[in-house]
Amino acid sequence: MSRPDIAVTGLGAVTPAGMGLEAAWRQVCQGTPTAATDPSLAGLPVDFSCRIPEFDIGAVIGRRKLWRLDRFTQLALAAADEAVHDAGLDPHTWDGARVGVVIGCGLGGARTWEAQHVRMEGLGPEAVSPMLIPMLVPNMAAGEISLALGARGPSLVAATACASGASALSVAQDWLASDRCDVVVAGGTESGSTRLMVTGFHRAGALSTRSDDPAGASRPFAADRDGFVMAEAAAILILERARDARARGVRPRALLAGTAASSDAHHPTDPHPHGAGAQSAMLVALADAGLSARDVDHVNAHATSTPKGDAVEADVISRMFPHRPSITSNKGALGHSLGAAGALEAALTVLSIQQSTVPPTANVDAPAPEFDLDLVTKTSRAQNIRAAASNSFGFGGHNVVVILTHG
Amino acid sequence: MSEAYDVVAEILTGKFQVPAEQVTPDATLGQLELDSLALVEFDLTLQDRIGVQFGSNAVTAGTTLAEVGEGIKAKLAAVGAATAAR
Repeated sequence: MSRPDIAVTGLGAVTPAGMGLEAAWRQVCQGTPTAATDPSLAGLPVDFSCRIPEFDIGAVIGRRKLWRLDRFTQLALAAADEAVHDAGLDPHTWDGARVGVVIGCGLGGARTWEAQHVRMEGLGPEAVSPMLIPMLVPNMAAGEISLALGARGPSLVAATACASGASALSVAQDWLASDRCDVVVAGGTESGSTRLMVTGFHRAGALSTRSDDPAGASRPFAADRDGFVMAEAAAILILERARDARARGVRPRALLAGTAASSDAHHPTDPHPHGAGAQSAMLVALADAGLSARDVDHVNAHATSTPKGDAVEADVISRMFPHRPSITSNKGALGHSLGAAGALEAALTVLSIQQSTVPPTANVDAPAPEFDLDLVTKTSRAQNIRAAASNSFGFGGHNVVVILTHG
Repeated sequence: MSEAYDVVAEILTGKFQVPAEQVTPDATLGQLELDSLALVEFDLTLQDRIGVQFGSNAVTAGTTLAEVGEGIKAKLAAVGAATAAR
């Protein structure tokens, strides 16, 4: 029996562009950056990030639970609420035992961890919150979504660093294909731009140090790129078998046609110099989707704006896709939201397919001369997209590729 | 009600986002949906706010807000008496 088509039927996001996926889509289409000096990082070597603007999150997810949730879980709940509504599903009437939740998250509750550590050292063990552990463990994003939605099927958090959001989509695909679930709430969340985490990424040499021009700091594939910009975000996709969606009168936004994951087994943090693992993930994802490389019209690149990572990815893309599909990176506008990025970029790729529009890569006039890429820059490009690839790579040598096709 | 009660009410409507109309002297912490972990956090917040902590199991789901207020007053008075005696 052939594998059933998997449909994307709902989307939701909270990003540095604001509440709602639509805000993120407008932001990337305008090609304007969200990075800015971050008062909470004052005095640090890297003192800027992409922050989500203030909004009344309690009005969306319920005020009574705010005190006991780290921000990464609050964001995930808000994005899930939007996605479920977008899918036209009603958690009061669905068969919760058949609904799964899988969320990508790189860090978990870093903010809570750091704050409680300060209390422990300053005030003693009696001052440590009983909510420390429930707030910081990364799986709580999935646990709280399950609780809020009455989703009683499998739930878990996938941690593959900056590929986590894409890994979650891959797990969701498996659950639906193997008939373990009828609906999967899948995505990613991260709110890790704390003083310690930002400094940690900086010490690892991963961040842009363009403190005098934070808005221009994230410039994927540009010749003068110097590192990524930390961002917070959550993005959720509702996935179900396409035949089930159609049976309830819902037209898929797009199909999750294939996914694949590979591991570099090369170095803890450096990408493989020739992107062997990345290429393998692309090949297997295409095979999973039943497509060939030339079928890919568009690639939403991982491209975080690091010198080495972007170079390896550009090399792999031009080798894999000599027919030069359009390329974009959403990170110029929205920064790098770590464990959320793979899901957020898949969601934006769905909109690219639906709206036949490729957003530009913010802050980039042209790719570095050594990259043979058809990088969309400056303004959005109208393009009919039948199949698109969304790449995600993470510390640990994790490579995940998601193929989305026209519904 | 007392100043101590006002602090209790403020913690419940502020940090715990309990609707103000539910915060009444004879309401119990359990009726306001504070579970066991929330009770510990509530006690911890009292400590942060006014330096009074009841410790484990002294404040329960069955404790009313008025009783918490009275308990705070008694503890503050005890501290005051001890300070005066020194």
